[in-house]
Amino acid sequence: MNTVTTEERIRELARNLAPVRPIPPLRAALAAAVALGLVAVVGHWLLGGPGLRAGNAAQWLPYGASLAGLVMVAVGAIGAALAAAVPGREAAVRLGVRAAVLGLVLGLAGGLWGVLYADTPLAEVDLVTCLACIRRGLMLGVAPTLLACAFIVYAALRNPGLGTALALAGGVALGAGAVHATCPNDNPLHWLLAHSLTPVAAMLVLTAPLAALLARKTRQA
Amino acid sequence: MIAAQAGDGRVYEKLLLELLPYVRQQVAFRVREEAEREDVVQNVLVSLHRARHTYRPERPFVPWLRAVVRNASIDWLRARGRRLRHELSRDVGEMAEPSYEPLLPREERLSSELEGALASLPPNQREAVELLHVEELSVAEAAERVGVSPGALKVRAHRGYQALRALLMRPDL
Repeated sequence: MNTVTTEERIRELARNLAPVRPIPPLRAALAAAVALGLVAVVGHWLLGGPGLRAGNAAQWLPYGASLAGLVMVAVGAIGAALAAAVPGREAAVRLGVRAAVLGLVLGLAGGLWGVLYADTPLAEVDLVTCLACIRRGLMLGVAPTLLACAFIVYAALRNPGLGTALALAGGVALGAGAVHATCPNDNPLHWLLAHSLTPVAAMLVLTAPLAALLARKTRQA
Repeated sequence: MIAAQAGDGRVYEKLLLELLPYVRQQVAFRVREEAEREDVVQNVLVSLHRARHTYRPERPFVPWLRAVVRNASIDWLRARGRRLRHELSRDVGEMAEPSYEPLLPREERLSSELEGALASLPPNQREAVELLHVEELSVAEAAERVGVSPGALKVRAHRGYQALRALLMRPDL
């Protein structure tokens, strides 16, 4: 039970009012996150990472579907994560989540299509190569994920679980997309395990600790 | 709202006072217990204050406001649910082992002190404590008498116990 009246509470809030900077527009924040991801990719390439792949022409369709799927997951999930931090943008969250889910389905379908009609032996999937691609995808996804998380903390979201999960999925999908575009491996099972599923794995494993960290940062802010 | 974001307290106060009927209406739609609605309204206003930087001037104001009110009301209802569960489990523990035993050495002074402390409680907390411990009604009977839910009555009584404890444990007594 509050001992002050609501009108007194309003006067108290108005008395202690400090100027605030409005949160950046969602489109600008999304563009910044994607640009940051691309900067990380170019930086990685300049530091000796692999360039764009010259792949097997027969596999361009499943390969392209996987790549398009990852790009859709990246843009959709990062957009939804940013929108989830702003009250009243539920429609944008739904749109972003739908795009991300569609992208995931497209990516998985592309990978499975390649697996079913592969002209490379699937048994050649090497765990060490897969882990290297997953690690690269995670590394390249760090910058856009952190930018989306910074937006969430600035928005002072009380329950950052959904936003964090989407930021992780989107950021890592951007990194995995860059890995997919440069990975010399022609095995569709490798694409599926080490590229298309990396955002999902990152989301499942890292959401809880990152969300707890963001909630603490929000309380401290 | 744009002026409020720039730090104009006078405009902000006017805005919040103008929004108050709308906030009360929205809260009344979600919170059944009349006695607790004003608490929720204040909670919503504080949430609105904390989220004021998330409003973009080029976006419509009402959907933003509606979302803040809805989120704050839901947060409050969830927090109340957690609090009630916690208090219920604690009250069961207290029934087995009364926590007011340490006050017994001062029992000669307790009656007048207790009366004074009870008188200083807010009316609804005092009523809840008296119904449960003076008239010795059950929670359900007391809640029915007051016209609130058993949960709301338990919250009032619990807050009353806390206030009484703080008053009776003052070093000057």
